[in-house]
Amino acid sequence: MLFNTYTYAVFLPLVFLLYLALPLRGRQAMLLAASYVFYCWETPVYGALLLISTVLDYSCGLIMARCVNRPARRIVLLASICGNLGLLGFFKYGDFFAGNVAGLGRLLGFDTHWAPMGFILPVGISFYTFQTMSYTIQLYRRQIEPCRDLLSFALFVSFFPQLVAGPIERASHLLPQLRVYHHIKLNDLAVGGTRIVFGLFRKIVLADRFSIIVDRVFANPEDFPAFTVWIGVLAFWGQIYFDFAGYADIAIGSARLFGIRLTENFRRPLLASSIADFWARWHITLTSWLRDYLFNPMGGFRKGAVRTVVHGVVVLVLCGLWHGAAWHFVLWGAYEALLLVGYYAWKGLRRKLLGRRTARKDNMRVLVGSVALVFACNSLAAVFFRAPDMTVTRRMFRCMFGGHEAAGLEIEWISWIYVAMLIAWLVIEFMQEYMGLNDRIRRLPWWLRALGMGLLIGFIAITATNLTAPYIYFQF
Amino acid sequence: MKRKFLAAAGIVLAAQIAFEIFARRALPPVPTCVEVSRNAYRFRAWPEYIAGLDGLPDNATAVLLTNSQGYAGEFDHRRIYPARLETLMCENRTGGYPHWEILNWACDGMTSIELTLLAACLQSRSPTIVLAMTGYADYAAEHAEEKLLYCRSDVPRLATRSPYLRRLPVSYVRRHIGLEDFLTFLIRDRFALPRYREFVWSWLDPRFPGIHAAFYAPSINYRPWELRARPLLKPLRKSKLTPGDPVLTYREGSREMLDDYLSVLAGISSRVIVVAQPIAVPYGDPRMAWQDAFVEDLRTLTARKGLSLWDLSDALPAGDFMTSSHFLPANHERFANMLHDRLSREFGDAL
Repeated sequence: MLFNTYTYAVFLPLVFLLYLALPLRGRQAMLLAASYVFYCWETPVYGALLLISTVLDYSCGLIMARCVNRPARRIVLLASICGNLGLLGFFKYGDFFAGNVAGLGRLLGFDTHWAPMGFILPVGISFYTFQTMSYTIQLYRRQIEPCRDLLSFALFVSFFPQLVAGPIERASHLLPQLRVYHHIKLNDLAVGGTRIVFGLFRKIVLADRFSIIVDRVFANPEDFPAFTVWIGVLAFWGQIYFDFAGYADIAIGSARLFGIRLTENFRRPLLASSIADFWARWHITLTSWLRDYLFNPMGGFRKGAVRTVVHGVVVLVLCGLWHGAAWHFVLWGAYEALLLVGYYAWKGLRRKLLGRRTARKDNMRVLVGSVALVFACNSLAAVFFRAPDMTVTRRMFRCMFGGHEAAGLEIEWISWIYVAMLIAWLVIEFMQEYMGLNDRIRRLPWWLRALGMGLLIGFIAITATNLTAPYIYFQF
Repeated sequence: MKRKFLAAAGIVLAAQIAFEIFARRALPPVPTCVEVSRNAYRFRAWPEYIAGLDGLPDNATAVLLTNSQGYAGEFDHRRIYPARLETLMCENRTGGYPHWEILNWACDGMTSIELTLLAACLQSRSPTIVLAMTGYADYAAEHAEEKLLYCRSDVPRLATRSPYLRRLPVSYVRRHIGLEDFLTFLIRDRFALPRYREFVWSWLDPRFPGIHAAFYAPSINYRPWELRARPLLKPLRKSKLTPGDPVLTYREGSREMLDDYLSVLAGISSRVIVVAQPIAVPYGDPRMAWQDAFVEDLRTLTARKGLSLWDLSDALPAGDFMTSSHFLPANHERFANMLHDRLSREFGDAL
């Protein structure tokens, strides 16, 4: 089920009303049932995978609780990780790896053929497998107590607002919230409702609108002048950000209606002043997952400069692969790793040259320059991310740098509307970050805010595109 | 806090009601077929169009249930076969009626999803005759899994109205009416704002030519509201995103759709004639096999349901086809004459 559908608009209030009427156990059971209905709406059979993942980690948790020594606990942890990654690997990467192995075999002269299995990727499998793995890892590290209540645990794995595209929650944060009775506060309803409306605005007015020019440009880049191709690439940043952040808004808002607080997934990534800062602002729950459970266990920053670089590259390449089983995602991860390595190399060099003295953070010119540089670097990354294959990636780069410049191509006026939208986005985020825009809005009289919300809903109804596009991150 | 919360919710609701009232009152209504002979807004306002039929003058009425062949949007509406047929029937007083009115229920890209719904609407009306012009592509297997949202017209709004919904076969409902589709069309049917938001884009489009496709609806190539204005900016290039005509096949699943349509046609109290549309397919083309299978099914099913069938698949010269199923003006004229001759010969004064 998609958030941007009328079905969800009926589903959510129904679930909410039932939630209000039930005691704690009833709420948990009802939310679990609702989560499975939500997940199985399109393809019921994939509910089985969710169930397998749930049972696997619940059992691993109970077994781990009985293990007294560390090696035994490690074996259980490995079983959990292998089980989850096995599911992920089979359904998401099976065809990719087998196809590549077969291709390699053919290159080496062997008669290897591979007929793709053709599984449809189960929606959200990358998200819930990571979430449930975090439970066993936290348990292994003794950061949490094992959950002996299957109902609560099953709900932790499948809680519908964040099931298919995050935020990827930690057991230590979400599980305790699911085990207590929440008295619904009007403030929760107001905040949750507002987040849902903003999420819808971001998705169906902004993201889907950006997608129109993105699809046009990526389909036939040679038809456009280099400027428009660049706009298409920058617009993709707008599309993917508003799409994913819009999803996160609706997820957080929906959970808030039940009194449950989810982790924020974005912190104005457009304003990142370095590539490291970008990763601290973009898809925060995935980044922190990779940091805590992959980068740090590998040694993190503790093993010297070379090892740190290696760790960073491995993590970001895997991050690319997490997004999709295709070489252009791997390349995207490698490119991001390269940027990160470059950033740390520059930082180290600057420290050597300037000693402890570094540029003042409040220097606006430096800040604007850094933000622009990060944005430009990430825009190039967008090409790897969005292009469906390497051929389109090459065509896009050629057109972005004017390699195709045919006579008669001119900049269409519609491109300027997208430029204006991108600038407005930048200005609003800047005002939120540095001028306290959100606080100013919060200080407005309540009736004015309510009127603004009413007008925003009407504005969404009038300006929404006629697309019912699925969320980009659903494919991951 | 509670009072403030309720007041704020009231303000939000009041704003929505104000938007809705504005859409209903301030935006112009869509003309129905009673007002214009060939509805320029044919992709929209079908329910209003059909509701307008109640006010028809007391003529002999023929309803043509057809598709892009009868819509023939590329030609002046007076030159296409439904208009010519009307002229011929009026001039010759076919069936002894002093005046005929042909209602051309045609729509570009019509599918059996829409045809079946329109047929369901005819069950509660009594036109003099219903000509159900149809071809194999109306029952393309590719449409078998499609829901109401697949349709480009707003005919599916009719599916949310219980008098028509009740008349649809269960298999049709199961196949084509999903919850999301139903809710979408329910909202569009009952509330003005979601319907009239297209007015905003259609208003902007003549002023900023191309904005409709480039900023609102990339996958549709028409403007629901044909408003006129002086362009303020240069027209945008047409997007190449719109895919070419998909290959439509008549395979498993098609027969069930055809069966549903014919069942609903059989429930109409008026005289119904099913016509296998003329097509022009080169020898050896796979479409020939699909057409043959379609006509075979049509024969079996119409006989079983007691419907008349005219098989006119090969009736027109291939040279006067624009595409495999769309006529050039010469074939429009021929086809109108052919239909008129058949109607006169087979029914005469006894119609």
